[in-house]
Amino acid sequence: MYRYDEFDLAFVKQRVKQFRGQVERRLSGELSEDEFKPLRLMNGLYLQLHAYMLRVAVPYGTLSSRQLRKLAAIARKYDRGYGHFTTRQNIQYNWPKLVDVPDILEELATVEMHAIQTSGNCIRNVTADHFAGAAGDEIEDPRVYGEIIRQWSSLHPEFSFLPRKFKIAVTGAPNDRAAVRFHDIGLQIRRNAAGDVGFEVIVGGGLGRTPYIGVTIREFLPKQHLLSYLEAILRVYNQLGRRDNIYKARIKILVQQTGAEAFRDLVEDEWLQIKDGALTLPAEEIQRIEAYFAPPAFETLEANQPAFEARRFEDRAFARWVRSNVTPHKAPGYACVTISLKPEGEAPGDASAEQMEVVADLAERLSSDEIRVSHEQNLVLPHVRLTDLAEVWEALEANGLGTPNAGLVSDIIACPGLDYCNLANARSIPVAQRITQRFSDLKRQHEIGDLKIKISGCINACGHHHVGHIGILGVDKKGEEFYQITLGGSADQNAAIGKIIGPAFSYDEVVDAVDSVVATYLEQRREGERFNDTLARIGHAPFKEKLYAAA
Amino acid sequence: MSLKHTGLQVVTANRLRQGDVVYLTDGGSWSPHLNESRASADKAVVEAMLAKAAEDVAARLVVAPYAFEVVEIDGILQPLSTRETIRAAGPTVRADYRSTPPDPKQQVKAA
Repeated sequence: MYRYDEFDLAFVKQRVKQFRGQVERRLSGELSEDEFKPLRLMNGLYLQLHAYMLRVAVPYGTLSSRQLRKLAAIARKYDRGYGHFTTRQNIQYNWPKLVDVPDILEELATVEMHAIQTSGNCIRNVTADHFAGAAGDEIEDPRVYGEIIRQWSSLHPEFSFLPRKFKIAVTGAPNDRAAVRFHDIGLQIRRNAAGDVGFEVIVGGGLGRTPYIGVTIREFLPKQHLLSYLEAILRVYNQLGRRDNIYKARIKILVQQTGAEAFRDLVEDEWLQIKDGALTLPAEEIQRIEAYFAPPAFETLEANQPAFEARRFEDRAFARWVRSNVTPHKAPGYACVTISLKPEGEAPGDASAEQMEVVADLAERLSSDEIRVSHEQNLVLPHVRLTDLAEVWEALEANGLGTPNAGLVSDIIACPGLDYCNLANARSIPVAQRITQRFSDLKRQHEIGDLKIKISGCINACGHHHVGHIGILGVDKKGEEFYQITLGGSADQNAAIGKIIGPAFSYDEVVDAVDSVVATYLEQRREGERFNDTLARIGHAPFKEKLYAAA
Repeated sequence: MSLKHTGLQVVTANRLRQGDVVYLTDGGSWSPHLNESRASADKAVVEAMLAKAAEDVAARLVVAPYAFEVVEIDGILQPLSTRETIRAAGPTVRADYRSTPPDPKQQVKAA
């Protein structure tokens, strides 16, 4: 893992001190709320529906045990004993007191963490594949470039006041687990015909009220040019992105209005002026960062582990968990474990302080001291020996973390919604909870197979509803909560935006509606078809017919 | 279920230091309980309540004040919107996440 150097440490400590002073001046009246608000937002502190909310960055979703224990300690000491993991691989605390936030930030700094650039119109925390460094299908570890981008973008003076927020995601594998086509910039690590490794550069993707799939403006960018090319994109956006209308300020609108080719030409022109300059990445610098992400010293193990296979054969519950929550690892005899934060009836992404500590202990003992946060609001133990899986599962089971539902119908992404958020129009979490209760039969969930439901409580789409196989969008109709259903979205390499199926459903009806859609899929699907395959073959009509038949 | 507009308004804000939700009371102080808030359908009174809230913003007691509509049912104030209902009672997702501590008066009654 990356470790702070003196520069990182000094700068984070300085920011804590600075924010402490800002809070003091706010409380003494030297700063008004209007003056203070942009300052607190720059440190990830919002005022939400019930209370302040602090968003802490988890760079490219990677945590050490020590860091996760600190997050747990903060939840216990300053909050209500839990935290919420987000679709941007961050953690949010829902109940901090303003007067405590400087102390929280000081505690975070002791484990090389902070809340800088988790809000505001700047380059946000860079996200990456949660199986980075472990996945069998990976070309290179995307976190190396996530870290390089973090260093470049942190407090970048030119990009601290962008037209709007800016999100970058990196994946190193062809199977996209980082939703790179739905970010302001998506970077897909590719190998070209000559065998060199570089980036496909995707720009202008995004969700929100106007969802777009990002467009590729460069098929292959050699590594050394990464930062100069990003800088060129950001410069074009900073100069031409709209500042007069918040709904049209994201880069996706600029790319659409300019046209992808014209936009690319603008970027390339800008790039030619700074290419091969100070931002060129020397190979030694890439190697220096790579060293921080060197894989742990994996033991040489047989790919087939009889003890593990025997347990799987004997214990159905274990076998079921392995089927959904354990994925192949690049090293023989190892696996990646997805820890579900979606137990039946609970808030997706929430973890108690005790649960965080259980995960931290398991990671320290059995996963090379590493934990990942996934954009699907789960945790991951990236490097577990097959022979340790049973022990890991038993510990998770005993602490409400063993739900065998990764990728299944109850593994729902949901934004905080009207239960916490100041912007929401409708609740998301209780809808997710009720869906998990409706599909509580795990055997049935496994029969249904991979199915992604994503729920947003307003058009800002924090719950990624546009890219759910089944998407649910909460809307307000005369003070009451209604839910629009979209079908056919996908956030992976088959990027697609879902289409609205018909009139919205009430809070009471929406779970039945989801059940109806799933039932139609099960009736119609052919062998091996996933939800979107069936939908593509038969179209919306059969779903719609059943869904609105009773009405 | 939709409740009729009555024009009855209360004023809410968040405490600056803590961030918790509070409501302006008859006595001009701030209470965590919606039911202790002052409610009025008189525009001039609501204006005065907002002016008092603005003073308390200046005095750094609260932030982000605004008025919203409630109805009174059997002597209990109830917000018209789902948003204000949740804001008053806390998240609906788990009882122990509720923002408002249990009302001590009600506990006495229960005992």
